[in-house]
Amino acid sequence: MTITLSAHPALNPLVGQLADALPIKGLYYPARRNSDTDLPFFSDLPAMLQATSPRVCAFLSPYADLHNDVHTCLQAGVAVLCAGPVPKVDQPIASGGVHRGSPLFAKALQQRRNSSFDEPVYLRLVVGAQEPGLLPAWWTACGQLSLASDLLGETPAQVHLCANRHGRAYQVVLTATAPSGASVQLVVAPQPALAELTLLGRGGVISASAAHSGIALASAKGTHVVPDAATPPAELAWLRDFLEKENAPSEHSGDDGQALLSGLRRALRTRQPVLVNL
Amino acid sequence: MPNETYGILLVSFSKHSHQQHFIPLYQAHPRLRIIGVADYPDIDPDLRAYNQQWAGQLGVPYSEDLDESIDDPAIDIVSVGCEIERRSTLIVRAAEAGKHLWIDKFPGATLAEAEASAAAVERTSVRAIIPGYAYGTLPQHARQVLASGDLGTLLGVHVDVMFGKGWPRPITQRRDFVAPNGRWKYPDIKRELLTVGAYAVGLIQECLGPIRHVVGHAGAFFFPEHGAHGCDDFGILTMTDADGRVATLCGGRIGTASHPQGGPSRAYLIGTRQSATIDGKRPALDAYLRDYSTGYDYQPNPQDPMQWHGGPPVPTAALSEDTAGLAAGLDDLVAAIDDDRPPRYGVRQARDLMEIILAGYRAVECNAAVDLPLEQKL
Repeated sequence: MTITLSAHPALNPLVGQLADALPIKGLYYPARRNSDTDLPFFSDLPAMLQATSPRVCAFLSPYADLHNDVHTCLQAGVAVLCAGPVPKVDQPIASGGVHRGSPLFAKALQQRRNSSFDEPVYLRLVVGAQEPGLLPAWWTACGQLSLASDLLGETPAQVHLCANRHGRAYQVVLTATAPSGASVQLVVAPQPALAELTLLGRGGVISASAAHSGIALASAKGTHVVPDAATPPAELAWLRDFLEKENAPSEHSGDDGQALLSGLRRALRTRQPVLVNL
Repeated sequence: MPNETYGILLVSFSKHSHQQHFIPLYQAHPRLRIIGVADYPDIDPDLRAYNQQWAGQLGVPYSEDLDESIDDPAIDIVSVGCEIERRSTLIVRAAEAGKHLWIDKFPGATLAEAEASAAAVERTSVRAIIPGYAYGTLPQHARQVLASGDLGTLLGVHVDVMFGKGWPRPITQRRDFVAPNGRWKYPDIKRELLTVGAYAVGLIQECLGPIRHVVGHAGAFFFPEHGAHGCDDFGILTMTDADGRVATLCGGRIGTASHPQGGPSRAYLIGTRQSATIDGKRPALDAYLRDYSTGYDYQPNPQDPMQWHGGPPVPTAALSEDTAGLAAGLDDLVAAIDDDRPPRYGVRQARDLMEIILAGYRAVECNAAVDLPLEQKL
């Protein structure tokens, strides 16, 4: 089986980890040079498809014409897996749910289901987008909302969305109440290393912090925390799961993604909270 | 006159104030002297007995003639520890008598009362401090990070302040949310988004500009008492300032033994270049002692089930002796009086804080974003 990836150069370390574990034969990203990868790099999708004849193409980064490239793959008989929603695609594809491959999510869900945890009351997530720009921030927000729904076991019917930006650094904030009454606050920040989780239940607290989970490097100037490379990335299990399940389309709704993107643009324009129905 | 000693009048040891916690600070400060204890004459007998008990312990007179006590020339500072509903009247009266003020959190139960307090302090040029919000470890660390410039442009701030106190139990009755309308406490509970969330709002005020829009949620509960009243034991707010920067907070009472330091106190400062994660209870020392881990009875005292005046021992102890910043606040008040300047956090900021929280409660009530400024009648 041959797999190809589409990813922004900022994801090269992740791409390298995936290529070490899976038969990945090519890397594509539009209108970019990418000299810092060991994989054959293509800035032309048809050229990559022709050169590698993949069975699967996984899109890890969003960009403006993503839906056209997805369409090109589907037309060529290549199965498609997307890390986030692709609203303009006219047939179901597998998208989202990357967090389900995360060891942290698996442990958190296990604790969440512990009867001692009781009912959830509040979930706070603070995470960084993997790349700069509006669309990566949007995908990250969609991913966090999906994670929140999985962890709580319920999905809010609507969210308040706030957003601001400076250059290509975006901050996105989602605030919601789940049907049970549990409150949710999700923050997307520009720094990819940021990853904080707090889930409050009537029976206790489940929490994790990248700031406390990395490797501490001490120097003359202080202590600097770097992420560990030993924990497998969520994308690896996510890709494997897709391959094992024979490319079943996910239940993730592209409509929610489109609603969030529209709301995000409105929040950026108005600089105030915007209500989005999911 | 930098060596002058200032006399303090302690007004009330009401159940919901921190007056008793201020006493060691006053006693330790070389420039302060406790002169007396006073309260209104129409208080309940338990409070009267408690006031008298404290006056006896301190060896100072107890009076229920507040006017006479405030006008005493030996009094320079009034320490306001009465119920929230009586604070504004007291603050206005003391300010008009030329007395400086140490105010335990809220300068009024309504926006109009808080505005009256702020106006009186500004009109009389006395020095008045609300010490709870700007002097603790969390705001100090936030200021340090902001001053360094390492974050780049600040995009937002997100603050979690929770008290790991009380004993959560199943929610047997879930009444619809009841708006406060000036009522902040009941015999068995108080509004925790106000009580605890205020600390987070104080930090947000430090970081952002004037708040313009607020969204709030408070639909889940830890305690059946709050569920039965339809009152928040926990709540969240999301807000944007005049420049479009975004802040979020959560605040509330989350139950005993749920955190190694009695409840999280942390902030995430999101910048364009870097983001900072600040723990207001660190640096700290971890001490996992077996007897405490396996044998401690965490059940709250039946006389104080919400643990307003106590809490369990914590295995992780902050190194700072002043994480709440009260000692630093007291130094600032004394310096402000000496130098005839406002303290870092005064009544005007506290009035604005009250406006943000009231907007939050209104947002919870109507499940929609609320714009600021609010009308004063709230």
